[in-house]
Amino acid sequence: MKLDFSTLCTTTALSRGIAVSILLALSTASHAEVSFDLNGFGSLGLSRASNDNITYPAAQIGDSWNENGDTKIAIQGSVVSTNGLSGAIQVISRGREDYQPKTEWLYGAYNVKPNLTLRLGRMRTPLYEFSDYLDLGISYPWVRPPMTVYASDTMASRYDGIDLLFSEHLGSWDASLQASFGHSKGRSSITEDVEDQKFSLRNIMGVVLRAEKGVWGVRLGQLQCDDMDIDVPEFDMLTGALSAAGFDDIANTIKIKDDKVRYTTIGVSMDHEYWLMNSEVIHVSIPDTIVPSITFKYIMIGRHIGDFTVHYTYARKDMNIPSGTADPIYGAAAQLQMAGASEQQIAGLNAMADGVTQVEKSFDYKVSSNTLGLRYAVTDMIAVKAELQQSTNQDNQSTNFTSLSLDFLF
Amino acid sequence: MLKVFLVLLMSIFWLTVSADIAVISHEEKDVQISKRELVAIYLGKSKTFSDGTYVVPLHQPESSDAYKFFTKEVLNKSTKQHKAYWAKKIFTGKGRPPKTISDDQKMLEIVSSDARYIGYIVDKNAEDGIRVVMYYSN
Repeated sequence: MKLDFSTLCTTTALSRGIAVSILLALSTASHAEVSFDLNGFGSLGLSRASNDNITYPAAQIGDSWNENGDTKIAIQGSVVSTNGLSGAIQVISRGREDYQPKTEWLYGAYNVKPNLTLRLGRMRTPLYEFSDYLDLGISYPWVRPPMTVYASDTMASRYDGIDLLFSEHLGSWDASLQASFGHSKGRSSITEDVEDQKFSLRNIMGVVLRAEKGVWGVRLGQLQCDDMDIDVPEFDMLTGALSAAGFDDIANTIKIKDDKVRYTTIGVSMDHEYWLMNSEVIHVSIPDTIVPSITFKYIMIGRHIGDFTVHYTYARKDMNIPSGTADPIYGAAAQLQMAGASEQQIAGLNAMADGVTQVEKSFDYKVSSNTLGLRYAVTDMIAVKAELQQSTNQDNQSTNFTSLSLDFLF
Repeated sequence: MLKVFLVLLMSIFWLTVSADIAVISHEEKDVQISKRELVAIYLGKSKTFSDGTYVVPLHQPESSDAYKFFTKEVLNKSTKQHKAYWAKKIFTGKGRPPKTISDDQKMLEIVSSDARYIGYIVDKNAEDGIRVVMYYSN
């Protein structure tokens, strides 16, 4: 039987219901001790791009100094009972979302066993290494995690559903397993040319295995969804014309509807007294679409010198786009020409084929970046950062990004 | 001669700054704890003693020498790394740091009151109601 979590967790009302139930359960647990916590974090950022050759829409860095990209404030409340029940809420207000407060988490949790926790509600989608604490600036050396990866695919950063957290010792390694199920919808920018589209991912299933030993950490993740929709109205006219002309297959590769997506990731990290390293390779597979696969990679190496951390990062993103999607249409146009069809008919087919080629090109994108940064820990709760990043695309066009930030906990 | 003098001087200096701590549990908690298990308990990776019962670890205040010694020598983290580790856990909803107990005296009172607790103290001579799990000295 296939579980349909989209109906199970259709609205946030369910998440709210869960949180209220948890609070009630906690307050009625007469012989259990209940404790409350209120924590917060934030960042003040300032950034600028040298030109608009390369843009990362989700990062919102323009060609004049602007604070919106990285500025944010978050408040988080949690309630924990000694009987194993707990609940948490996190609300974030980000500059890049016009400071509209968003509920990032709202979940209830239960410790089924000492090493097994079940959570139900709204949570962060465990896509990549930094997905869980993408907004928590103080926890990483950069102003923001590599944009090439983390500002490229902003889809499904949070989801509504359930997850299981299991921890165990494996030989000399401390291992943990996180299994997630749920659905996610919202708005996202899927490429530099196609911004702010509605997306919906139903029946997300993910597994993350993390193992740590001493200063080393390894993370393996696989997350998939069999039912992904992204509404791109810009493509509607073209896909409508393709279907009308009998090229349904090509129209379907351009439309992102009921498609499959799979994220496979491997990450290795090191947190030594003097050195630090983070690296990830991510492969996103979207078969039967015009973007069948995307590969992201990065490696960061840093050195702590007293309260300073100097770091260098190389990152790249490769969209692997097949060429020749439009060939059958060009072929049909040629056949019509030989059969003596009207000029208008032939021109119509050629225009359609050109449209498909243009879509193919708009996704055919490769970008790499080099980042040099400095972090200064003012105290355990405050850090100041500065960094320079140069991004270069496949046509050798470059853009330099300069960023400053102040990150804090409270 | 100078070398011997220097070695003597260093050893005197060493003795004066050395910190010893005793990791303690309830007197009736008769379980063995390896250093690795202790680290896992204090980093929130393990929530039970080896006999499967719940464990609640307790810290001394961040300003205390005992805390600094424990995080460095036992947890193998600088106080900054330790803080950053827990900030990540807190703000990803994956854990909360151990509670802080104000001093040795209070730590002895709490640990001797309930078999769930584990803590550490500087006082090596304390015996009432507690069991010393292990000693650490530098």
